[in-house]
Amino acid sequence: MNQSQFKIHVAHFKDVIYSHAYYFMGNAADAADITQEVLIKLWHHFEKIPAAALKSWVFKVTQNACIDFYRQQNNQALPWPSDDADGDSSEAVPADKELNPETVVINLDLREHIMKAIQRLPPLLRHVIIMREIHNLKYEEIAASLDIPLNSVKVYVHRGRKLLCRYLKALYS
Amino acid sequence: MTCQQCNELLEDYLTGKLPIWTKVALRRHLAGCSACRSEVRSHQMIHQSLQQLGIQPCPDDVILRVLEILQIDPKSSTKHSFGSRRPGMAVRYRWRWATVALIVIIGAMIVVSPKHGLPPPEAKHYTDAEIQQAKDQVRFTISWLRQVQIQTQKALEDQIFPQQVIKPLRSSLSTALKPLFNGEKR
Repeated sequence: MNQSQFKIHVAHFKDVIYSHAYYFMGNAADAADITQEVLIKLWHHFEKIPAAALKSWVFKVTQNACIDFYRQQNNQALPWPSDDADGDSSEAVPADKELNPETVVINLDLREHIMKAIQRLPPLLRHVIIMREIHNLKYEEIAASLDIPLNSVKVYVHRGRKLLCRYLKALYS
Repeated sequence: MTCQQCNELLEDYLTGKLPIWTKVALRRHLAGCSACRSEVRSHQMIHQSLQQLGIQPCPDDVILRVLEILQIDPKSSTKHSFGSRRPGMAVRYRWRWATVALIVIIGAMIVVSPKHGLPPPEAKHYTDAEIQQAKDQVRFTISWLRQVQIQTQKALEDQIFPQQVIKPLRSSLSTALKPLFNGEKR
């Protein structure tokens, strides 16, 4: 890849990589390091990546870098969500009857609270939610990036939203 | 539809991917189930809140550091500046230019070709008999419309039709006939 091609790809992907890392890690310093690492990998591996799979590759490498950072910081195995649909039944929102969306949305520092809620999600759900809700990726793209079935993506998005709702509710109660 | 089924369809419902009949069934269920309604509202709220976060712009110093590590001159000449164009845009623009070129070529071929444009309209000459026939047809139409108007007026006067039905019909008919009468006494 020549330098000019690389710069075009950097211009296209820099914000995507940085955003993903920022929302995953929850701080700018780690996001900057992850962005740097991914872009350097892009430079070294660009020749081997098919053009059609470039976006998926970038997300996959970003996720791996995020997980590496996460492991370094937490020094523990990742708590992957179980495939069992009822696996997190204890975490399921018991009844949202008392949750009034207006009371949750109307606030002054919603952004900060949402960021905190995202940080509380298990890593895989965090990836899926960021990809789906912030990058507006299709389910198929998320499935390709994470190497998981399409239905699992739908389940994770659903579960992620439910957990976020529960966390936000906890923050405001 | 059960709450379990509603829960399974929720994601497709929020993204507008449900077939119409399933959507109708789901909405019917939501109308009668406050728990599921609340669930949908919560998901929508979370979706909207997350959308507000948006893409976080990458600081320039991160990119400069990467270019420095890879020993790439950040000021080296390139047609694309950071953030201005995306990969694939060049191809897209190429297609646009190709389309424009194709249109210009086709246009030029039409103009240059000997039979370009529409043929000039030929002045058709009508015989006196044809003109007379057309006049008769117009007269017949006008007289028929007059008859319709008279009959309508009569029906109105005899209270055969209610006033509110006939009045607008009559006024619209009068408006339509006005140019045809062309000042003739009605």
